[in-house]
Formats: sequence, C-alpha cells, structure tokens
Amino acid sequence: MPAAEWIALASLLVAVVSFWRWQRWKARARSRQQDVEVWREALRAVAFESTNALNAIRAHLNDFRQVNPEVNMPEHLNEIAEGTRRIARVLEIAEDPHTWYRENRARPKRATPVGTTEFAAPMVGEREVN
Amino acid sequence: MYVDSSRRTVKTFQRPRVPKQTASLPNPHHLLEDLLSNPIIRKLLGWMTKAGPDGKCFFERLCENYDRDWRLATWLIDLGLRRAGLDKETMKFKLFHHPPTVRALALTARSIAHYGLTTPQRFVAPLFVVWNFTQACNLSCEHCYQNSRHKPDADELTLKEKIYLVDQLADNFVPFLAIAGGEPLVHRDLFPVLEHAHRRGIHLTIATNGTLLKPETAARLKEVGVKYIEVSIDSLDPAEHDAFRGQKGAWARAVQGIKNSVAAGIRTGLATCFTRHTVHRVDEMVQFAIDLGCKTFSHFNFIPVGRGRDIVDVDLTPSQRELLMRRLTHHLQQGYINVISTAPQFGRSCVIYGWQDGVFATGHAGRGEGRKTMVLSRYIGGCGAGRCYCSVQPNGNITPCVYMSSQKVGNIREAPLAEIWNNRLFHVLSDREDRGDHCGVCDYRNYCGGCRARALAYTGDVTAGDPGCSFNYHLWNEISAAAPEALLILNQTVAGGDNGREAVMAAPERQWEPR
Repeated sequence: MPAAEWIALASLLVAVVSFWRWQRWKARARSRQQDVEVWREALRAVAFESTNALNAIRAHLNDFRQVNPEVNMPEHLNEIAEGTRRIARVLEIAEDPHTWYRENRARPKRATPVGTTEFAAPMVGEREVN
Repeated sequence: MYVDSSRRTVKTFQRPRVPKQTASLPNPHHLLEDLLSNPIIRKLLGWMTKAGPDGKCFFERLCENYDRDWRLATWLIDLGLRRAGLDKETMKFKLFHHPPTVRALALTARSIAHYGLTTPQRFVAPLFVVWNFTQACNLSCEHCYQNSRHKPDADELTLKEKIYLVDQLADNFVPFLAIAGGEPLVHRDLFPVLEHAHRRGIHLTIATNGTLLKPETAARLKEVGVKYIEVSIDSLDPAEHDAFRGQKGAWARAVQGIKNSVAAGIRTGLATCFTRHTVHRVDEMVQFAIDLGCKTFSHFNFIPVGRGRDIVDVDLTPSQRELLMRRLTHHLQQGYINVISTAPQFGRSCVIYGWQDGVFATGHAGRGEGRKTMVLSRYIGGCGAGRCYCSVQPNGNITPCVYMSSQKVGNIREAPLAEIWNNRLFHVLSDREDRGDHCGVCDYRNYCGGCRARALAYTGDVTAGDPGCSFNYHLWNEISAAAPEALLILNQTVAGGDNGREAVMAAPERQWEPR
C-alpha cells in the first residue's frame, strides 16, 4: 500500500477515535451535569426540610422554656439549643459551600481541635437528680 | 417604608429588633419569576391590562372571547394549553370564563406592571375587600371586634352610596368581596347590593352568625350569586357558645343555618374564634365542621379590639397559638377539609411543618400543593392588610383591616377608591422589612409578616412585632408584665399621606384595659 494511503488511513483512524472520544466525553459531561443537577436539587430539598425542622425545634424549645421556667435539669435544653446551632452551621455550609471552603482553607491550622470537650449537661451520677 | 418628597426611602419601625432565632430558609425559585421581572414583559402586561373606554382591558376581552368570536386567539391559546398538558374545558370553566379569576389575574398583572415583582407583592387595588355592611346585629358577642349594637349607626352608607362603592370596586378590578358586619342578613339593603355586585362580576362571600339563615334565605343568597357562606360557631358546647354570643338558642340556630346553607348547594364554612377555654378542642371542632358538610374550616384570630378588649385575658399565649397552628396545618395536610386562618402565622406554619411538596396556604388565594404554591405564597401569603386586602366600615371609612377600625385612611364618600388606596400607612404595611422585634428579621416574614392588628392593639405601633408569635415571646412577656398605661408604647401620629390626607398610625381610640 502506498505511503499516502497509509497516511490517509491513519488520519481516518485518528479522526474516528477522536470523534468517538469526543462523543464519549460529551456523554460523560452530560451525565455529570445531570448528576450535579440532581445533587443540587436534593441538597436544596434537604436544606429546606432541615431548616424548617430546625426552626420548629427552636420555636417549641422557646415555648417550652417560657411555659416551664422551672424545668428540672435545664442543661438538657441547653444541649438541644446548642445542637440546633450546630445544625444551623451545617445548613449555612450547604447553602454556600464555596464560602465555607474558602474560609476553611484560609483558617490557620491549630495544634488542638476547637470545640467543647466537656458536656454541658452532667453525666448520669455526676449530680443528684431532684 | 415609604418614599418621602426627596425620594428617600424611609423606614418607620421603632421597636428594637432582636437577634434572629430562625435559620435562613432556602427560597424556592420558579422560571416565571425571571419572566415577570423582565421590563419588556412588564410593559406588555401594562398594555394588556390598561382599561379601555368601556372599562374593560384587552386581557378581559381576550378571556371573554376565548372559544367564542376570536378564532385565531383561541387556536393559539389552545396550542399553548396542549403543550402545557392542560385540559381545555377545565381552563375554560375555571379561568377564561370565570370573571373573578380573570379580574384577579388582570389586577395582579397591572400591579406587576406598576410596582414590578416585589416580595411580598404590592397591588394597585385590593384583591380582597371585607365590607362591614352594618353596625346592627341581632347578637351581642363578647369578642365582637366591631362593637356591634342592635341598631344600625345613623351615618351608615345609603343604598345609593353602597351601589357606588360596588361600582368603585368593580372599576378597580377588585375580584373578591366578603360581606360581614354586624350581621349583614338583618339589613334590607343586602340583596340589592349583592345583585348589583354579582352583575358587575365580583365573587361574593358572606360571613354571618347563621341565626337568620333560613332555607328560603339560603336559596335567595344562592340566587343572587353568593358563592361562599361562613357561619361562626365558637364552641361545641351549646351553652358555652350561647353565653359567648349573648343569646340563648344561638348555637342551635347557627347549626341549622349551616345545614340550610349546605342544603341550598352553597359552599359553606365554619368559622371559630378560639380562646384559652376552647383551644384544646380544635380537632373536635374540625371534625364537627366535616360532619356538618362544610367545605372549609376557618380560624379567626382573636384580637383585643372592640368588645374583645374586655376579655383580653382569654387571648391565646404564643405557645398555645403555635400548637393551634400545628393542628390546623395537620388538618390542611390531611385534606378532608380546607383550612384557612386569619392568623398570618398559618402561612409560616404551613412551611415550617409541611413537606416541600405538601399543601401550602397562600393567604387570600386559598391553598395549593408543591413548590409553585410555595413560590406564590412568598408573594401573596401572610398578612394582607393594606397590601392586597382592606376593609370598608359601615360609614364608608376605608381601613387596612377589620381589626384596625381606628386606622382610617379615607372615606369612599370623599374620594375614589384608587386615590384612597395610595396612602402612606398602606405603603408602610406593604414593606415587611419595616418591622421591629423578631418580625423584622424573621426568615418567614414573606410567608407571614405578623398580624399587624395584634401588634397595633397591644403596643399601639403598627410596625411592632406580633406578640402572638413564638419568636416574639419577649414582647408577650413585656406586655403581660406592663402596666396598662405603659402598653401604648408608641402612641404616635404620622401625618400626611402621599395624597395629602392624614394617615393616622395611632393607638386605638380607647385604651386597652386588661383585667
């Protein structure tokens, strides 16, 4: 076979492979885009349900405290309130992950992790229950 | 908020705001929002809803002639309906050939053309008007916000003036009119007015105590075009209801009235004003309404105005109201009966306790399912006083809400409705950023906004937080602990509406005296 034909055949092969790869890349990109869309929708739904559940807990916690000012072991209520604050932080991250990522990267690393090491509510047996 | 003469935006709230207790709510979005925000579309909407020489706009004529004379337009609309997967006959019956819906859409389109798409949506005329038809009533209810008596007032509108008022409403595209009182059925002008309003294409509803709702009256009401009758029953216990309503046998007659209305084929609702003595029976009350054949259960928020100021100690605490809203949301989601509430917290409650695809209350536009309704309720949900709803008093005074009868912004005898509507108080009421306490920072303010009448009644300040909300418990505690004379925290007068009249933002004429 003359060299020119080899070159033509090779070019055709390269073109076919390139076209196939391009199509495949396009299909993958489409599929990835759909995935991202699905995740975005799901994240939005999760954020919606969680935010409302969180706000409902806060409203009722507030009401409960007002109705029962002399509650036994209020530390449990404080822990619930603290929990709602942490969930609120999670929701903030879900709403704007880019900001959270930037802030997280920019923050200097600490030797010891930040956070509470003691329970706000006493453990069973630590204090006598009335 | 209002814009002063030098075009500055002025916020008017004076109560201090409190730290936000709610987590930020991800607001759903709809493509229609982008479309309606487009300036070209706004111009088009303005053109389509501009009233012609006969008082009708192009949009109304288009709907009227759909499937009749305008063949090409019909063909194009049908094409659109097929593509959207909508049923032609349903759309024809519920939209194109249903004048109140057409007027509501025309008014909304005019409002978007005028103000743009705003949250909450501002309107160029009310979507919904409650007309306290007369001061006369055959009962003497303990909680009457109107302070009704057994005789009409001397300065009430004459029949000619009433007809003029109906014409004003119709000319301003007002789609929904509710007649209340007093007791509207005691007044001889009622039927001529209803007939005229029906002729002008207004959707009519009546709120009554039900004691005068005889079979022949119900049949007559249906004949003159009344679409919905709401009868008030405040307790399952006849003796308790009769004592509250000030007449023996009122409960039995009201129940019979409901039965007569249902038998006449009119959509009927049962309305209840819960107090501390009755709130624990909410589930039984809803079931009672279902058993009577009612299609709607309507909760009336107790506001200490009128004679209600004398029984302020029966008002629900924020905690009780929150649990009541929870139960009502549950019944709405169940779907055995439609549930509405005059408490704006109900809009918030539907979001906070419902699923994303569940049922949402959209305030004055009823209810619906899914994200579309939720987007809609962000624009029109919550308190509508002075924004998409107003009240007409028996003497023609226009006020933002039936519970705010001291807040006169004009009188229909003195100025046309469109002129009265554009006043400073209504501008302030339409801005939910202009609020004190938690209402100003709440993430649910677009769905709720807080009850302005309650804020006014308890604090004298229309922009204060709603003391009936769980997130404003600090305010409720402040009010509970305060001396009566200290309650009117912000008793003030803001002078000068945009049209030169006085928009009085003052405390009620008579001070609240707690027991």
